[in-house]
Amino acid sequence: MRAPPCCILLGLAGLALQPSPAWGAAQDGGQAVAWTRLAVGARSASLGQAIGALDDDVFAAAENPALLAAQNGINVATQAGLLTDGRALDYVGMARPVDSSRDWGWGADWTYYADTTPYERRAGNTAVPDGTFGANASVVEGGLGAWAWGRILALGGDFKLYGQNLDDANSNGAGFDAGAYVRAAPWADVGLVLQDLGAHVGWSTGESEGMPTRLRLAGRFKALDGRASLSLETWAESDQGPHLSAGMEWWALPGSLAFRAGDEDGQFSLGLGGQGRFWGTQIRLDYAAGTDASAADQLQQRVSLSFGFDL
Amino acid sequence: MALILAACPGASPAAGSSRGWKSGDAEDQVLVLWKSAPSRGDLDAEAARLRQPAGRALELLHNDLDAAAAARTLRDTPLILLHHVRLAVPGPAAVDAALAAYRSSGLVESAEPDPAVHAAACPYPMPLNASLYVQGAQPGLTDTAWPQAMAAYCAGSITLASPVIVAVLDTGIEAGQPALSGRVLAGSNFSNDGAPTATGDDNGHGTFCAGLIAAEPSGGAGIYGAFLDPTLIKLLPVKVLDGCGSGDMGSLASAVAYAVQQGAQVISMSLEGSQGADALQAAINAARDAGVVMVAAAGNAIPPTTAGYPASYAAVISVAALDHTGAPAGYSDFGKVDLSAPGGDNCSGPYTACEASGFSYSGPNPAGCYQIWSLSAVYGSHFCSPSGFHAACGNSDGYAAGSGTSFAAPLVSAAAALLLSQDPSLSPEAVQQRLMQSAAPTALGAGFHSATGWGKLDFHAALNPAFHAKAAGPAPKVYNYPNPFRPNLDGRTTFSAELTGQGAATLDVFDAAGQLVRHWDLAGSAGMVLQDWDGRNGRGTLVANGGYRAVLTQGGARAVAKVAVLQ
Repeated sequence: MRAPPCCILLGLAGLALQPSPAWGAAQDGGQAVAWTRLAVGARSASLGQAIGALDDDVFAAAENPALLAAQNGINVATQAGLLTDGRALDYVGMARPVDSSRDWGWGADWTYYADTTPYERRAGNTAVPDGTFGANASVVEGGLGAWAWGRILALGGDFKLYGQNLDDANSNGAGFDAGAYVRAAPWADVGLVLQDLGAHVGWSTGESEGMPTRLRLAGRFKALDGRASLSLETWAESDQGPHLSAGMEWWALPGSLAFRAGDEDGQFSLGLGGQGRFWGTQIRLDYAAGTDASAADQLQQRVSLSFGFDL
Repeated sequence: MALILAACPGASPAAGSSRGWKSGDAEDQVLVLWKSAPSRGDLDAEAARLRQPAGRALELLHNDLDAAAAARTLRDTPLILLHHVRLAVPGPAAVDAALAAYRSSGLVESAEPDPAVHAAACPYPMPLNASLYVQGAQPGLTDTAWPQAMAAYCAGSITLASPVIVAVLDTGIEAGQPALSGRVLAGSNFSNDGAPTATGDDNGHGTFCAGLIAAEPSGGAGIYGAFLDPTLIKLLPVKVLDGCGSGDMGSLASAVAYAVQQGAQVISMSLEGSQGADALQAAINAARDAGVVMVAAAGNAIPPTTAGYPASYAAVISVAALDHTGAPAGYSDFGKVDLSAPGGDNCSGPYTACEASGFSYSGPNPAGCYQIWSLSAVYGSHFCSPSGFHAACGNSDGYAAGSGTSFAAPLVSAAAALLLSQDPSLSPEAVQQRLMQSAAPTALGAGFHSATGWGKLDFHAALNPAFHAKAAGPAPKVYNYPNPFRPNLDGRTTFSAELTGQGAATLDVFDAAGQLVRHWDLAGSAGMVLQDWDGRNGRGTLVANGGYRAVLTQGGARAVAKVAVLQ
């Protein structure tokens, strides 16, 4: 196959980076455990979260469990995220092949979301609050991915446990993700994810909530011998979407330094990443800064650090 | 619980309050809120089922289904779902047994004890000669810019157009009081005293409050109520307190529903209870949804304590009392307070009893203690009963003096009625907003204080169309109440936005992922603006439990309120 001309890539990028009309127009938010839709990983955030087809990222494996099969070594990753309006998003996870055949991979991670500034408690219209309370939430997941058809197709799934605390109430729940990844061409990869299948959470107040299943379709198109790539992703839920996101990555120093830009529903992001091999360990540091349209385009930042160990 | 559920297949435990009987609750009745209007057959079957485990006969009071069905045709409210159940054999154990039985029913939304409520005045003996009386006007009204409002009304610069009905939920109203002649409608009696139609005042407290709203000098002398034009106001007497000034929250919930049915535009409640009730909150939310303004006394205690109920409900304007210096009175409760008004001094010091005397006092007593004057249920040769407020604090001339948040609240009720007479299309939120925006500084200063709310009632400013914007602050502010917000119980949360005057303002609610949930272009650009949210997104779907951000944006500046939705 022949790689597409760069002008086609750029054209696709320009089209994808057009701000989506979805944000700001549709007042359709408010789904259960909405915070799990936030991008995890600085690379993901700087690519507009269009990472469902990235076979070289442990964070992507958390989004598409089929990519667990593509892990070449033992990968450990962490993230610290400072979001707008006093919120934080942190992550720690790992993924690795099951054995040296690398036909299978598995992974597990923990994501933590918290309001770092408190909520004000009020019974009535009083300028001085009656008190304050807090909120935090986390999800723990573990999954498995496997290659099929001569490493052209990978399939995977993972199981999630949700937990939330809000004032004096709490909730627990569970759900599944299922994913597929196809190496369609040397220059094109495709990912498909069904996220939050059958997911429900139950609250201590007696309330039970279902989460809508999210369908994600992602593509990654490479050029310049893999030094540049364009990622596109669209997602929809039963009561939301479709939404479009896109990201571009350029390895200015191949294998060492990359610059990234992305767009997710009209919210722009930039980032960079550096990596090197030290003491036999692949170490990568990524940074992302992106605008938050829900916070008057204030910046939210993520730093992630990942380590790759040989199997 | 498992045994009960097994005995009632398909039933789910009732939500809402789960507390049992405690001191102060009625021992012979419980409040039951049904999930949907039960049929006669449902009720009979449920009564038969409950009679066995509870071992007690149950009967329904006040809101029988026929009346409830009639109510539904008038206003589509959930009030018909409330039943006030009297237990044949009273006692704390009987209450707890009945609560357990009802809560096990799949038909029941909530079952709760019935807390006590009482008049928010006369917590201590009051000396009559402590009053400051000015011929022709209430002393408490003079420093609320009421004379200026009256002068403006007489000069035609303030106009009233529509008649208004104000329901006074109290000890009744003495319709024969000459100063209220022709302004008292036929009401209803929800108290434990007398027949359902007996709305006369066997205490005096209700007549006193009614006089503060709508009294008119008779025979060339007397006092004015705060409503500027007696020809445009009608009082609906709804008796919820007995001759001792006591009642219960269940009766109050029924009375609120009744007042809405009867077309009241303002409900004035000079009473307080230390505990709320889900049934009362449901009734109050439904009344607000029907467009009714509700005002309640914050409550009295020496020393002051946290405001009681119904004042503490978000939909109710809670009123604290000021003494003659403009400071919070020594008995006036604090906390959930929206507004304050004169309520008389704390005269509990050297006095031991109220004194009956003439009403022509014009100054403070030697100790400098001022009180509020209004009507007594005692007039001429008529004397209702030997006990109660009028006996302690009234006199045979038909007037009385007293102190309490009970007497501050009717002034605010009258101001709300005046605003609705000016513009009947105003929503309860708009009325509250205008009253708070136009409030004057108290002795504690300008702005909000938990003891005085947003300030002292200012009749002239509230009624002046040119006045509805306070001085702008440097940056917009926003918060919401109640928070946490329970859509299924609270009905709505209200955003209180303080705007700067720097251009148009918008308010957006976002979920944790940054997805837009709701958007509003706010109606004003300066001062305080209230915006309700029912917990639904733009597609009408009730949002999930969790944390949300409400973002107020104006002129490039923004403010954020964190909203917790918790069903």
